Amino acid sequence: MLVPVLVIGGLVSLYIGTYLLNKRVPVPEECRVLVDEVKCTACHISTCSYKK
Amino acid sequence: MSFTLFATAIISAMLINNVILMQFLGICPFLGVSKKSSSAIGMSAAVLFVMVIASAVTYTLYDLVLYQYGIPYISTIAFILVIASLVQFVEMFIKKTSKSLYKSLGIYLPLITTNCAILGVSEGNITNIWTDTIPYWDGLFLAVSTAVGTGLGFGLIIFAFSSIREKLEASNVPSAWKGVPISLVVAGIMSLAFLGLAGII
Repeated sequence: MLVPVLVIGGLVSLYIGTYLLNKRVPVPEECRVLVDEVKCTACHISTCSYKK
Repeated sequence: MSFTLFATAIISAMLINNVILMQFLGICPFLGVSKKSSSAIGMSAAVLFVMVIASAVTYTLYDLVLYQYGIPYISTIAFILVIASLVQFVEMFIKKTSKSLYKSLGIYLPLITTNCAILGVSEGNITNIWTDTIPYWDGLFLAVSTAVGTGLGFGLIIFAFSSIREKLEASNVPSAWKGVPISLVVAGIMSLAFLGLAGII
């Protein structure tokens, strides 16, 4: 019973670790416009005021 | 491992057991990211990249950890976590090392976390390739070959579909059929066409 819990726990920790590391790395300056554009075209919320 | 085995695995995964048209996996990006050919190419490259790495890692995890400790029943949840971690890691690595690659692949990478084709290939490798008698390196080679073929097959179909959709935008389609309906009809016809390739190997 302990081994599956340890394996799953280890993988969850690995995911959290990689997620936090990825968040810390900034998006390259020339790609920021592209990422913002995708975020805006993907969400379809018509009341969004982000771009206004 | 011979070249014949490698070629057979690739052609089989790419054309005969095509992940989209035969196994119906990865339908979400197939319909969602196929409006423009440029997006389709970016998505295909990102899927191929992650699929190959994920297949190697999940096969290794299953063979060396899950099977050895008698816990293969947690394989699905373990594979989901591995793929999600891998996507985060690959995104971070690309962000740091290659700005041009991030520009072309980066925006598609987070979408791959929820792409069932990646999980399907990883699970398929265990179901179809892995046995407790096959040597580790032989199994890994076959798993990676299958992943390469599946990724190429995914790219081929999504690119062909995006090209057809671009043509359809400029075509005189009845208003009731515009958009998703005609796209689904095209996908159905493509699936029927690929059915003709069954049995060539």
